[in-house]
Amino acid sequence: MAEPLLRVRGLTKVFESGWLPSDRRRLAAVDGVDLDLMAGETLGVVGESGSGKSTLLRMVLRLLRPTAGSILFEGRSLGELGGPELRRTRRRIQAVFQDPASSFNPRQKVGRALMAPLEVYDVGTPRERLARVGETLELVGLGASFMERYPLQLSGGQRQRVAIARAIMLRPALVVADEPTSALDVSVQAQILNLFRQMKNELGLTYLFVSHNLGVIRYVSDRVAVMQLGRIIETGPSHEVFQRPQHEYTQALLAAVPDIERAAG
Amino acid sequence: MSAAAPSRHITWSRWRLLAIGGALVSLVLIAAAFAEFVAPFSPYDLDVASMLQGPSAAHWLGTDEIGRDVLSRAIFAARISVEVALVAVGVGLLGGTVIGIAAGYFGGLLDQALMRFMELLFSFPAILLAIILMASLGTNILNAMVAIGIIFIPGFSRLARAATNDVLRHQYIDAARTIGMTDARILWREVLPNVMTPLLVEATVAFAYAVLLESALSFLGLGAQPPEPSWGNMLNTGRGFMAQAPWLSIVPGMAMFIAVLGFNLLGDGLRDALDPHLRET
Repeated sequence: MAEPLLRVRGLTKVFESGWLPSDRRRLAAVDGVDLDLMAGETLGVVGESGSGKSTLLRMVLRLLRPTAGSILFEGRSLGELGGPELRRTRRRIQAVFQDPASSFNPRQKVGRALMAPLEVYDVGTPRERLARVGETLELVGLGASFMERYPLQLSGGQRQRVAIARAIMLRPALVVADEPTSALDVSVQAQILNLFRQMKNELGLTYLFVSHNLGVIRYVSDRVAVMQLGRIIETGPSHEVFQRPQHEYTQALLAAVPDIERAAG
Repeated sequence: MSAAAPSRHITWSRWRLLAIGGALVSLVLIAAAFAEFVAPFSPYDLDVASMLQGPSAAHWLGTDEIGRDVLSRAIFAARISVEVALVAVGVGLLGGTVIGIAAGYFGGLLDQALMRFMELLFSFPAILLAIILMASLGTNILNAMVAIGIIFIPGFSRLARAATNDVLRHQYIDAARTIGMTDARILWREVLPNVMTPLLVEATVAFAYAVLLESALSFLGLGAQPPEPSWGNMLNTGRGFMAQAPWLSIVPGMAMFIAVLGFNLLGDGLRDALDPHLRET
């Protein structure tokens, strides 16, 4: 079996609260998580809010430092990388965030926001960058004219398309998505999920996709990991987990979803 | 149709504040910049034949106790006030922004150390702190500028820190880190532009306060030194002639009123106009 693109072992994040030792509380938001993500695959992580999905993601993105455990990306431990090697690795992991209203600097035009990743890594001349921003905006279905717009002038769906454009700007290997459709209208959600699929096919991306929405996870994922209270309680191919859930928590989660197909008979 | 009406109303009230504030501030700034050309007399020329005269065709706002033209002195005093306010607000804005953003962005021990020191400065009454600073720096107008500027640093730093904490909660900061931006780049591109609006609004209000503080220091004899005219030392002089020559107090008082009101209105107008969330309409 090939080496996974992302290998997570024993990943743990403990948050502490309280100043005095007597009222100090320790909360393991992520507790000994193991994950393997093969190149080209979409792994959906599903769980209730507070299950630790977002904390897991933030550690993969190096926005949070793990308390224990390791994250290997392309065989290299993220925690031990530094300097230019870290930059090279970081460049290959990009993200789409949850809230399109908050994920763009309100004072920067779309063009400037999309230019940023190219500037950080010194990709091309300014003219080439501009061309690439235009192409990428076309790719996500918006068109180059959107460069001149401010984020506040866009709809939620358009902003999420720009967010996807920003994530694929550097042609990453792994795209991490944190509830990327939960702030959108249902009709727009489907369009954005289709765009994720389309980008995966065209650019050969690998997704780590987090959502509390089982429908979303089922739609995009090849494999599913179910999280509860910081642990992964069940993992397997998407169709198996959804059709024959083993863990009773997964069964309860699935039973709680109103199923239109089943209701329609 | 009906939807357009309230937004037009917002636009007009925004404009009104900006227009009135801008007009009053322009009046003060023009007086300060072109005092030589605007003032009918030199602020230092004595006219011993006409001491303590009320408003007349020759001296529109009267003369003081040694026959100097009050209007001309009030106009030249605007220059001192504006100079002091500019430097003081500049010192406060620069120092406060750097300290506040550093405290908010890096957090932890640096945050604690910086903000506790700011609170220490904040706990002194402004005028008392100014007097302490003036006493240790020496009495002249340049030190008054620095002293008033130092008084402003804690206020600006608190505002900058709060605004920075607010910005850090937004996902575009996570996005910038994910892209791989350095701290310096994030501070410059993402944080600074988004904390500037409240700071600039505060700066116009601080400008008004600086005018008052400079006048207070000059009134106490710690700011502009006679014979140099300042609204503060003019008021101090006028105090002794309140009954015979009330214009000696009224004129510098009105000048301060115009300047302070103008900068406050301008600040309110700017706050509304610069808010990016209102730009949509």
